[in-house]
Amino acid sequence: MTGRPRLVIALVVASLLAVFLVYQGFVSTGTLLVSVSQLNSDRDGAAHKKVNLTGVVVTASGTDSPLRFVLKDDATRATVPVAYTGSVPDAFKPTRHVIVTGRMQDGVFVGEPDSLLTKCPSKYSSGGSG
Amino acid sequence: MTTLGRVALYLVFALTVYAAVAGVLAGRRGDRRLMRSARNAFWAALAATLVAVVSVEYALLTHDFSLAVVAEHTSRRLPTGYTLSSLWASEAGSLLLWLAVLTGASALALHQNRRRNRELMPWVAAVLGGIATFFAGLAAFVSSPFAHVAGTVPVDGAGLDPSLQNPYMVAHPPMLYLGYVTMSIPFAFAMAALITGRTDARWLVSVRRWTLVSWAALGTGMLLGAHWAYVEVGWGGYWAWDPVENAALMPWLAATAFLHSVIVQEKKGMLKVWNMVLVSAAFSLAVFGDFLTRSGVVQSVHSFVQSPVGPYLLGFVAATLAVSTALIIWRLPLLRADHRLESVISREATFLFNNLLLLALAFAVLWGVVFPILSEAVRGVRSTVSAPYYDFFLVIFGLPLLALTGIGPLIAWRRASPDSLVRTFRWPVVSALSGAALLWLLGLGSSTAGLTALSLCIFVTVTVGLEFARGTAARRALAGGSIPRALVDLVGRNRRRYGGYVVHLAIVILVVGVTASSAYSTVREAHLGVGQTMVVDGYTLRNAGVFQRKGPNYTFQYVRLAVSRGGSPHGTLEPGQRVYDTGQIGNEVDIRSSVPSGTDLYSILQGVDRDASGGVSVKVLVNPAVGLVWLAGVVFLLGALITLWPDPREARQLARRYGELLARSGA
Amino acid sequence: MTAAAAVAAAAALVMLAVVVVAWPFVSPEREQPEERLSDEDRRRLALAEARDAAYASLRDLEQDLRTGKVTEADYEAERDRLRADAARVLRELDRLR
Repeated sequence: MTGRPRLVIALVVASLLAVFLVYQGFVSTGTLLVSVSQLNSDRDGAAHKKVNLTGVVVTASGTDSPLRFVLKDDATRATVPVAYTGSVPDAFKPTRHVIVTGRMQDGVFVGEPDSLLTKCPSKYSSGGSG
Repeated sequence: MTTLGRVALYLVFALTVYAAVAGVLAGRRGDRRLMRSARNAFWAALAATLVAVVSVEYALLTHDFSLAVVAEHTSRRLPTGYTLSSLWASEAGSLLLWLAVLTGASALALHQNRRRNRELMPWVAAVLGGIATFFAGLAAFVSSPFAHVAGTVPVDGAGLDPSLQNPYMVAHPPMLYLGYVTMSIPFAFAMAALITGRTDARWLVSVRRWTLVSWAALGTGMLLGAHWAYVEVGWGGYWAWDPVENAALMPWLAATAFLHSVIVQEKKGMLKVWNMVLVSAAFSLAVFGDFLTRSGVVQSVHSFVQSPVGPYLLGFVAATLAVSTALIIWRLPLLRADHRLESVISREATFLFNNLLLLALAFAVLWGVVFPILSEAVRGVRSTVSAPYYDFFLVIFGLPLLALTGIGPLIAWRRASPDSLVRTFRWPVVSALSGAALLWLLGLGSSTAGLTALSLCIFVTVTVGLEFARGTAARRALAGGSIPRALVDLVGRNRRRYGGYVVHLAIVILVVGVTASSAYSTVREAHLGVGQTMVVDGYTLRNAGVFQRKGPNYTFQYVRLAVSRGGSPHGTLEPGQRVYDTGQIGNEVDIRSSVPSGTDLYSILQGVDRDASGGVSVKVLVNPAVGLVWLAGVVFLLGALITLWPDPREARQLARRYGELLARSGA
Repeated sequence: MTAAAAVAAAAALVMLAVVVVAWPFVSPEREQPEERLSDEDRRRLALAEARDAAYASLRDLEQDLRTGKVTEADYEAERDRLRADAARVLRELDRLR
């Protein structure tokens, strides 16, 4: 391939790469995934922005709305209270690992509606609603 | 029985090792008997794998809870069908399924080519043997289905997760595995071609057909999974860009690129390096996809606990990439193109752009999947990406791809003159523009991407229609006959091309369905006391009370929603919750699909008031045209089938060409 | 299944596998066309493929003309090119005979 075609191909490849760079540079690159202890220690400003919080459910308040439960860190003893509205996955209960998206407000982590996911402890099964 | 199964599994490992070694020796010495022995070893490995499968199924059916796979995924009350299919609900069991498909496909591929490609096949056997050895090793030594349950043997098992007790979830893993595993075959052929330095037309035919099988299976598997997510997981959508979904998408994209790019190699002897790279990428991504699904290394609704096979799979992917890269670089001189690209306005160029865009999309998806791991490694905190990221790249790479779907078939080889361009694209472009205007007037301009996608769909549909129409007319001009006859003839003589057009139509249907159901859907949440109503997009739903009924292994509590539209009754919806005997809870959505428009009325029960007043919280969605997504799957399979259907004329021509040669060399 | 039966079945399976794998070495040679190609044969095969590819391209070109994808002028220019390619391949094939 010589001359004009080669140039055009090169330009196309360059513009494809440019798309990636533009996106990374100008559009937000993602939500932090933090553990309870990282949230409590305000790692990377986690206590002041929207994050995905992961932890183990310790206690849960039944089926009131908003659902209130306490998340504990996987490794340390750190805990945080959570208030959440929206669909609750089937597998949700104390001792399950969950992920919920939201932000800290006045000492309570407020979860965004329908962002609660559970990770099923048994292998090879789905964890719950998306 | 489990003893028999265990022995069988060790035997499989021994046989695959033998097959790999025999393959290498047969290749180096040109020993035909070693080759046949290696081929037989695959058949024997298949038989032994099936014995292991039967052992596990026997343990499942007799509720032998001393085995971990039985105790963790079944229970006595589980319906028999699901007990049988729970073979692939467990990680070790699914590995066995993988192995069964791998040994079976390998034996078949070697059998099909037992009189052809004589110099190639020993190395194909060697590569397949190597791959099979790896997976057999995992199944026999790392994650065995015959592993004992930890602690004491339970009286009853944990039961199958309720969301998996669904026909789609029964079919989805085997279909996906068929896709992942059969990608090994084209990969093995490609590596063998590089090792021996031999490629010819027959090699290309074999590689193409197996890739087609893999690609069709992956596509179907993804749609089955999407349908399961839609009816069972129940959030109102069907694709969440979950890492495990992406795991199947990436190899599918690479395989799509390969299937198109290989046409150029066949007709013009170009893009040879591309094709080697694409087939290696497709296989590596397939195994990487398996790694993502099993290792739990990225957060996913489907992800498992850290599985022991994870690191091995990753190592295997790395080794595959290293070996294929080395082989490609070594054989670069062999892969020189026969012709040069002369113009960017040519069919060759559109295929090249097709490759670039598909690869770019696959890379974008890959980046989104591994980004959390990389960000954690670099910054210490995980940063995840979600739907907006993927949607952005899907639109920006997908729309040009959609355009190419229409442009490619109509543009001339080598160099298309402006005159011919005007002539061929006049009607499609005019239709698309007027269609766009019409859609905009109908109010669909709310989403620019949606409007563009739909207009491009019109463009592609018109080009495909023109192809069929013009082709039929040309056939009739040549050979006479009625229109249906000419059409059948046309497709029969050129199955690949017209089968491909049917697949393009399936893609169009899919795009319409996806665009309509995502860009133009409505969602409402409400709390309804008994007798209260809510309105969603013209539908009125009334709470007609909360009821209970018993199933084989569960109790089902549901709300009856009476639906009406424009004052007249429109049936009922009964979303609810199943409480299984094992204590697990499963939410069951209820969907009402309207057949002509494919629009779904989708209801989710979010909560029942605890005061037993019959009040409920529900979420209702109206998803327009979502039925088209499933229809697309059917058309997709039809197109793939047409393309796969063997062409006796092509086979005869290949045989004759080879026969000429042998006659001449006096063999 | 008793332990003895399991062992017997396992042994039978292993023996069957050994027999299947060893069979090609002990069974009599079956007559099959030998496909050991010399370099010259390989060259001939490649040329035969190039010849068939050129013919196929010509047929495709005719189809493209009939369905209006190329203009008459484009068709004639490309056809002459493809015919020249085919002729060149045929000459080389002749030379090898």
